[in-house]
Amino acid sequence: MSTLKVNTIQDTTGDDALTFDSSGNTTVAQDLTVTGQLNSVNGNGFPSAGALSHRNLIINGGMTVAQYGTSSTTTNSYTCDRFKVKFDGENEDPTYAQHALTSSDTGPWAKGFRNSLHITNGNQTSNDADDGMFIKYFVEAQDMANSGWDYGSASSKITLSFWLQTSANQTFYGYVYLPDGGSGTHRRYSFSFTASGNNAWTKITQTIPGGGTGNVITNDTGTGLEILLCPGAGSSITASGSTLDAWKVTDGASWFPDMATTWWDTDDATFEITGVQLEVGDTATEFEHRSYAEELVRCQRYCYKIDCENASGNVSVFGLCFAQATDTFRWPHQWPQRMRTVPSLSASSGSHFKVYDGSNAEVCNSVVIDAASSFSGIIVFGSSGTSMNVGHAPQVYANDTQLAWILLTAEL
Amino acid sequence: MTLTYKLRKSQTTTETPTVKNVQKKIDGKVVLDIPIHNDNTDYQEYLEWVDAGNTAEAAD
Repeated sequence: MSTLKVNTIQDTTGDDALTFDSSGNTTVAQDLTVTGQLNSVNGNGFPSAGALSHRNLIINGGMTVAQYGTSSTTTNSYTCDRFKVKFDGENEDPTYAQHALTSSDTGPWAKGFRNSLHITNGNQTSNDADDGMFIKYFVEAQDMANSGWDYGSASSKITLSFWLQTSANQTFYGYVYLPDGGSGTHRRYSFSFTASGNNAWTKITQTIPGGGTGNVITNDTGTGLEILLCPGAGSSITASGSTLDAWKVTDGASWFPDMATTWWDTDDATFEITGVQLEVGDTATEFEHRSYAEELVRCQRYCYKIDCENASGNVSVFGLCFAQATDTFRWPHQWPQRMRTVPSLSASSGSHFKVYDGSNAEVCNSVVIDAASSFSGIIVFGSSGTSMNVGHAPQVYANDTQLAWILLTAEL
Repeated sequence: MTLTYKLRKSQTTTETPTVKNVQKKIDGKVVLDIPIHNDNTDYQEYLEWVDAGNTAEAAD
């Protein structure tokens, strides 16, 4: 090995090409071409493949949007948009919430994260075969198909990264799963991850190669790729020696190797994530922070919430209906953007809504949806009272001090 | 927790209402109004419930 100590390297014409100053700075006089891989710029990971903007295929990875509500104990549902929480075999319901971070959250706070998805375990008195806790994220197929990932090539990669904090650290497992490709050929890529200790935020990074011709992603509005993170699972989905870090045709009995029960068996154990990013390439670049408004618009393709409150005399109004009958009021409504598919409707109690036609008012008792499409529908309010005049256009608003809400969902 | 479904008739304009929706009920309370559409995952769950041998309540 030899060392060259110089201040300047000149080109063949005698002009300075590279200059090194006493502070260690290097000046390149002309254009610079890097034919190898540029791994980082200013200390930040630099993309090895894929776009230079809009890299994150995950919507709401910073957990800023929570249209469903900020806390829940219902399995197979949501608080933070797009991140479904599912649990099975629980003896006491876990709680999951959109959680506000503080400056004590060393790591993600300094990186600009202000929210997380925070799971608090219940008191699970036993660990049975069908027990399990899962965080699921479904990427729409056309977004994966058009991402730039050559999912059939082992040399083309995607990288999943996220911040993790848990109170009961152990080896956890996760997978990405491709549901397209026909029955019996769905493919799964399982991996492990662990935090650096209890209650220590840790940046997790997992790079996943393409998997040959068996990997299929259809260019449509269904699920193209499912991401699952698992704090705890019973033996019905684990198997000793189950393969990690390789694509395999799905086997319902062996998602993961046998799994420690530390987290599942600990009352009130926590599992908390934020900064979830999935990007094309083998490098976990800095998280792509987006504004609340931008994340909300992206979320609204899958979930659209409208709400009104009648508080302190300030009445907010949903809109104008027309009275189809004395007890039936139809509100044609266009969604703010085309949803993934025709949405389902849930709503607060019908009695939270009220209609008024200028002379009479009625409290409602039902809310349903008719004639729905992916871009519009007719929200139909019913009442037991019959004082509305047919053909009139009553306004619909929140009754008394109730928070009235309507949730339209077209989730994957 | 008891899961059931009930069919629901709806209409777009002046036609006679027909079954175009399914209502999901938890413990007898309606929690979701689901359009009959194959890409809707709530409707897919309803079809799985029917495939498991269950039958929805008839529409009013």
